Amino acid sequence: MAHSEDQFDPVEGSAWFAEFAGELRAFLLGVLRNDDLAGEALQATWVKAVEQGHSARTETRKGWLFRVALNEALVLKRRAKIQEKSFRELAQNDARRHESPGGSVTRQESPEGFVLQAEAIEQVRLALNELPAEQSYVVRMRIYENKTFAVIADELKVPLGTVLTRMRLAMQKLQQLLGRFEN
Amino acid sequence: MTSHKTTSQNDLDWQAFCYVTGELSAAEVTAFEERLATDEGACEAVARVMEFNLTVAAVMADATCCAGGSPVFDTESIVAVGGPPTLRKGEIAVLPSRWNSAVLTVIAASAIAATIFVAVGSSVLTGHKVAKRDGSDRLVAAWTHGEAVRNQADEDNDPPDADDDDLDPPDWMLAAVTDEEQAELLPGDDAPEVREN
Repeated sequence: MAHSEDQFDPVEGSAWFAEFAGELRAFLLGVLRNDDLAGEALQATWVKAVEQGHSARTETRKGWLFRVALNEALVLKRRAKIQEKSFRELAQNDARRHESPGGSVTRQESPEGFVLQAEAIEQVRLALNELPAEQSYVVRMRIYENKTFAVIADELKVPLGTVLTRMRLAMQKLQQLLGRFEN
Repeated sequence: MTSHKTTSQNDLDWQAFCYVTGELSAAEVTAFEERLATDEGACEAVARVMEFNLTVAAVMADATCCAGGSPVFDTESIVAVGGPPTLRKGEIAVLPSRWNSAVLTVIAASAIAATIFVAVGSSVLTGHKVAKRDGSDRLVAAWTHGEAVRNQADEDNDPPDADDDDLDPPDWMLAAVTDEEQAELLPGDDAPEVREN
């Protein structure tokens, strides 16, 4: 797939980029916690992919993209103080992008990529219902209400370690349940 | 990029979770970002955890919306969907579905139309409808009464030879009366009467 020319074939480069766009976007959201900046970094990564992607070996392309994306994100992060958004806001914005004209496409079909998938939402909904109440409560407070673990521990009047354990157990259980649902 | 084989996926996911949720110290953040630059597995963990967190947030927002509680929107969602009834920034937000957006848009449009109707067109429309509903006779009676009161108040100031033409209702009002009253005329009646209500 490597080209001797200075640039990738744009069509080939776009297809290659689109394959990882959704995962890259999620990664950039994790680093930046701001969807506008994540979109900016993703765009810059796409430009680099088209311009310089030919230099990456096929088997390391995903890693190459992650590295480029991380560099772009860190440049943005250093440039100015980032206004981080809550997961709730980011989820809303992602859902809104789904609802934009022509937005009902999977992340594989979209060069921008989407994070939220209807099937995943349904699976998580089912999995959350199977969690013990105290774990589900911590998940809600940390992810949805954006409270820190220290605040949660304070509110529940339990040690910080207990809250961390509940969260870790919940995550492991959810991953198991999600794996079961996927199978 | 090399994988850190000594770290299980659960530990990596947990570290990534603490990173994306901002639970790490500044030094830990720097260390983890250095790791991201060389560890594709760590990058994948960040993406995986972020997808997971956003999906959980979406599920919980959806549950809040559909549980029958009073959903509270943040400012951004209000701008996007046109204005739900309650605003409490920083509280629970509802993930807008295509259906919700459509309904809220219709509600917002209806509210705007109603406001315009009340603010701008009420005087004209209301006057017209009152005339239609109560009949032209009531309108004429009101007009006559109003004019009588006004003239009574001004009577002392008026010169003796003041023209009384302004007691006459305008032609458009008489035309309406004539049409309605003629429609009610019984055979043999000579002239319509203005009923007092």
